[in-house]
Amino acid sequence: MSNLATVDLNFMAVAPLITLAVAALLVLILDLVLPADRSRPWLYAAGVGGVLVALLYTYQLWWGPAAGPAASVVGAGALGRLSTGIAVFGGHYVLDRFTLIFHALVLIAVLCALLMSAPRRDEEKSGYLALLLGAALGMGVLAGAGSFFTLFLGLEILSLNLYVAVAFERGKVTAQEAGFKYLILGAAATATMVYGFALLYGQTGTMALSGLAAGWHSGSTVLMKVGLGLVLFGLFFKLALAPFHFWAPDVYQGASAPVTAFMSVGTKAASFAALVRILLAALPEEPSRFLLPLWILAVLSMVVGSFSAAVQNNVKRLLAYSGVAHVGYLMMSLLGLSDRGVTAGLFYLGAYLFMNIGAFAVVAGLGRSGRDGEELADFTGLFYRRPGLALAMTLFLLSLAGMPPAAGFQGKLYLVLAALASGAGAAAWWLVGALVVTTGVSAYAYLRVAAEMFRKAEPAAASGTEGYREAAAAAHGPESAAAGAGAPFSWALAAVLAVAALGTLYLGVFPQSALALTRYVLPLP
Amino acid sequence: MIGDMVQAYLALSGILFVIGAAGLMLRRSPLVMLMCVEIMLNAANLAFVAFARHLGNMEGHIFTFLVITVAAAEVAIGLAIIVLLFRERDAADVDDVNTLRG
Repeated sequence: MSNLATVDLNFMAVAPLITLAVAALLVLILDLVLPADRSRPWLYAAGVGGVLVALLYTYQLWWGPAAGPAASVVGAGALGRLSTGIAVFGGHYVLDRFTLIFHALVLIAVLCALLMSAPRRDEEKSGYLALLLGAALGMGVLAGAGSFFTLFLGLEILSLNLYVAVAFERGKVTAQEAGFKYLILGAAATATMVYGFALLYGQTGTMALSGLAAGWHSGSTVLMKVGLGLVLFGLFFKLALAPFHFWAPDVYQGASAPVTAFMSVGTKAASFAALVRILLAALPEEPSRFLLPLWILAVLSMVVGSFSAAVQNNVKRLLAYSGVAHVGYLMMSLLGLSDRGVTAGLFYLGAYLFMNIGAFAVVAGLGRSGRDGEELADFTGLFYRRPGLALAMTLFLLSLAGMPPAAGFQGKLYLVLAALASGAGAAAWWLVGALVVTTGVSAYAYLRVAAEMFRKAEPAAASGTEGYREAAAAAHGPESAAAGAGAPFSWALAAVLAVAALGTLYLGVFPQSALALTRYVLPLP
Repeated sequence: MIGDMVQAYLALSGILFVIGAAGLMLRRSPLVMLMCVEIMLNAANLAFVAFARHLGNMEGHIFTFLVITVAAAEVAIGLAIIVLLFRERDAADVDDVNTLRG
């Protein structure tokens, strides 16, 4: 690309990523040097502190180099339209506000995941924390990828960490099974993607994303089309877009709630960033014809996700299928690849971050004795046992279903408006129609859980006995209930719930302020 | 001369990739499945190196190093998870790993 003297080794530009790596190492070292019985708080302090410092760096970069003049951007054409920032490390990493907003999303997600796991009493915390931080690092790299090198490395850093994090709970067979399935399918998707990179490299002769579009102008474009298809296959797999979603329900159910909450949001956000960059860089001037398969997959995702969610009795599986449907909605933001559409997609990801993490936090909060409160029966009569938790869950479910005043409604509204304004014609109407229909179906899925929470628990019901005992314990006061059920509820989990609930409401009631933020990312015409 | 050769290499790498993908779908032993993923990655490596020779730049060669390194990490993790999974239960192939359904 260029010789070493001219490569811009701007370590300040990747300060948030370096901070995450240092924090992960620090956690591991602290575990070695501190006495085992007193190390836990320090490990968490190091992890949470590292994420907070990374957030601070992200904020600094947002107003600093990322706001720089567009002229300094390496890579003309479609990718340049996205960027107001700078390209560093010889163009392999792009530091712009598009990257940074994904950094912020991922960092908030990993912060919530760290806090959610704080009440869990299991050993070997340091490895677990380092894995979460490492996965966040990979997502950050993926969001800022400017070439196949960084795309591949980011994807693998996040995947390898998550494979282990999913299988981490020792002695839990479902976790190991989920880890195994995720590993085999994920590795196959990665291999497919790498093969796609090889073909694209053969066509264009460069690894830089900015050089991709040139591949359309040289003779045969077979390599270009096949390569692009294989790369998109890998990304769709990571996004869990139907029909590449089959791993998601198993993995979401098997992994512990904090890991699931983090990976569902973080992986989707980072893969979405990579998808936008690749599509903007690779598609020829007239993109609508090439994107038809994407719309078919989006509609399929919405249908499969919402109908499958409606028949689930496991709340984690339900949320997994809901995630599949939400990715379908998210794909609407790519109609016409307009700035307005991508802005709506960013807003939707923000809304999904808060409502999804909130829902998983409730699942984690209901957990007892090393198990998450994930069965529908765990939610029976929740309102009469823990009204606060039940009301929070209701808010998140309403938001996921897309009802005002929660964030999910505004998110869908912007997606529909952007789709109709994109000038994509019939495709836009098909997608909007599918969104409306599947929203109705998935509302049934979510409200089934909500109704379960407000139903009085029947002592006779076989599955309700535990709930009944807990209800009886609750009558003796909150302390005895907490002790009796062994519920790992804590201030950390409460903080996550509060942040998620506030975020969901704030984005729902004052969407303009957040939308103004995303408008910094993409200079609107 | 090289122009003709790159097509031969590409054909070979395509065949390797298909062998890997087919093996992944048809075989039921977790170890063999992991090997099939490796074949797919090496098919990509072959294509990278062939294209790099053909195009006369180094980027393809460098990417191959990355892929080899990452593949090693992937296999290490894969073997660890497989050992963990199959020590706990008396299962010989992946069809016995079916706790998660629905």
